[in-house]
Amino acid sequence: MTNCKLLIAGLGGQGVVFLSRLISQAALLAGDNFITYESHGMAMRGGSVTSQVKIGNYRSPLVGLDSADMLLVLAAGEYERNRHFLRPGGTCLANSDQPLADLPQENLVGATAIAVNHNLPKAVNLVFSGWAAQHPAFPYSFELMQEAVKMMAVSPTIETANLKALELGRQMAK
Amino acid sequence: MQQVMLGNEAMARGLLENGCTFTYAYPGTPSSEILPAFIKQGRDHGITIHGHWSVNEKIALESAFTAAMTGMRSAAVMKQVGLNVAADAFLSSAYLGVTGSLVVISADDPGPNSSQTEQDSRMFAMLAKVAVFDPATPQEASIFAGRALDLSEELGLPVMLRPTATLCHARQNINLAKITKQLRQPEFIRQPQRWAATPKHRFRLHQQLNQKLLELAADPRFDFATQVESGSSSPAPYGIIASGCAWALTADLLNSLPDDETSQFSLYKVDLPYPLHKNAGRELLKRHEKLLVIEESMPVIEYQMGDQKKICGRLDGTIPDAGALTPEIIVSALNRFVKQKPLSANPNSIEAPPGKRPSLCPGCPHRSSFYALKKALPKGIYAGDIGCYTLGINLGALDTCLCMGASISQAGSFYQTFVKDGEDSPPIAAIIGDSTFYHSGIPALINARYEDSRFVLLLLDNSTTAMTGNQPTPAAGLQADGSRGPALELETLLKGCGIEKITIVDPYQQSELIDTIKEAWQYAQAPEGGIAVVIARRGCLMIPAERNLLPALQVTILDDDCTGCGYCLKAFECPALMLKTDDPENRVTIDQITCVGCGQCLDICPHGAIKIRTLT
Repeated sequence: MTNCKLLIAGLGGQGVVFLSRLISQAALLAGDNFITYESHGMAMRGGSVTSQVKIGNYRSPLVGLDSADMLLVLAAGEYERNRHFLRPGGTCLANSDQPLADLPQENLVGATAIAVNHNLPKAVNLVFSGWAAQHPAFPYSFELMQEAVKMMAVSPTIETANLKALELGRQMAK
Repeated sequence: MQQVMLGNEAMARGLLENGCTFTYAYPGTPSSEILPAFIKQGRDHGITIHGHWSVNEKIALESAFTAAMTGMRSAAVMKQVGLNVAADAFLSSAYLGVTGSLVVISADDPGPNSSQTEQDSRMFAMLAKVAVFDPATPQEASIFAGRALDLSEELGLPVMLRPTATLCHARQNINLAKITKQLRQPEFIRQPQRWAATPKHRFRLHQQLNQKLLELAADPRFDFATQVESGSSSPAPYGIIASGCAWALTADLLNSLPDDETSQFSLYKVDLPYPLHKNAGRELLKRHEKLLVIEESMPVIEYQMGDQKKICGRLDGTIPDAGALTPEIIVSALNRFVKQKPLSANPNSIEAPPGKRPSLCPGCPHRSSFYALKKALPKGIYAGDIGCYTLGINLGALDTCLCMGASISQAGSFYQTFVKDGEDSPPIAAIIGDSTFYHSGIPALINARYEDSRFVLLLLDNSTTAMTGNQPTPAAGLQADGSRGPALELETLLKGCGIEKITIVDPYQQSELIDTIKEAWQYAQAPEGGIAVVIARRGCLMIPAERNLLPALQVTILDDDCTGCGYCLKAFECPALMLKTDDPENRVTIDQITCVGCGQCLDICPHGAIKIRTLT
């Protein structure tokens, strides 16, 4: 049974909510209990958005300060606002083509450029998660994330594009 | 069998699993996903259900109540401020009761994240004398939806289910039960002394209601003194009483602490905060030295506990009286409550740097409308309303936002205030979206016309309820289940409200819109004039078909012409316009991923630096 608290941060429209749903779907496939929380409404209009994912036997989806095992940052500008949620010894992975604060270079990925170059500008979140899934601290395997993408796809076209984006991310980790 | 479900979807599932076939709602964050999930899951199981977007929450509640008068099981769904709109029907329905079931789902928004107030619907339930369930997790919300339906039918009274935003928008693995076809047939039994009760009968009904509530407060099913869910099971010195998401938060927190810290507390869970179980409260006051009540967002349980000397919570300041609860707030409240060795968890909330504020989407027709409004009536008073377009505030084109529909009443009253004072009125505009206009703008418009108020009514018609996820409006002629129905034409409706000057403009035609608004204000000021309505009509870009209509222009900013004045950022605030990174001259560039190519910014640059990109 996995036990992991994640916080995902980004901007409205970047697919923060989709990414948390993807991880939830993977948790369901793995047979884990989970509870997540996402921003809706006014906040979704391009503003700062976070999603919280707690895998394990939790009742509340809220992640406290100093308690996230993992912080996933889709927009570099959102790191500063959310880094305090990470517990000491936790892992932060961020989408940034520039150095970001004190984060080690191997925890950064330029997923936006890759997505744009492959004409998948809306799939930054998937490129990012394909890359993140290679990290030992990430709760689920790349293969399970692939299964989750397939289960959540609303059309074959979207499934193909999303799987391609996920694979692009995986290649970044090599 | 399990499925990943949003709290809102889980509640819809709970309604369907327990025989509810009628759901009426008006969209509002955080409740909006309940009705679509109800319709979708009902359809997926091949059962006949009735799910409707009502024009407002009062109508939703009246409709659901009526279905429950005929013995059916029904739900009225809204957000907390929607309950204010439905209050008249809500309070009256408690006296009349139901023969089937009526569950009122009113979703609260502590924080607030997407609302005008942090009000607690449970407090409203207490005012209305309606029993209320407070679920803690999506799974529990699904179960409580069923319990609420059953209790409603058992008591013959409406029952409230009160989730908060944290639950509505939580996702969890949910256990599914069967959804079965309902065989009930509606039956209306004439009882005019009940269904049309006059004040004399109302007194009797009130007494009956009080009696039922007294019995409910003694019902062993809701005895929370036996429900120790976390912490120590043998009586610890300190008792904590909590309900809903506040309970979930506290339970997770206590479980994360070392055993010697956790064992100081017994945590009790209240499923039904009103009417609060009488003996349970008394028993816990005897059992513990001190009690802390943790609930959102107002002290509903706390008010109902006797002996306030032993109770800590919101009333004595142990818990702050505004804002959503967080793990840190609970830790610091527990530290204040215990007053001994502080707990090992972090009690310090941080001042996070401000996040990026929300703004209208790139290409949003509202942005063009606001820009034109400012150009046309630069010294105007802009009375605003509720929807995406409240974000007009970012563009300096929205001055007020009171509640749904108030833009029109406020514009009328601004006019009356200035004119009654013998002064010339400054230019006045009311800005309202089409869905909000249907919701509560129409009576306000009739009133303003009746008073002979003069202003420009800028009706932002994007043919949808955009903010809450593009629910259809009556003008679209689309039902909540996607089927076709009658379409109500906005222009005809306006004429019926006594409006004689109506102009329809595409907001993408900026200069035409500017001229139309100027002309509208001229008309409003003329002795024989009146309220001038300008309908800015263009579909919301969240609807894929509307995005396909975009001109798809390749827009760029010429570095040599941009002076870095920042006018476009401030006056137009399109998310695609951004400062160039590390540019000492603060020049602006267009983010090609974000830009939708609407071309609406082409004319706004005072230096003419925004151009259509030509291939070289």
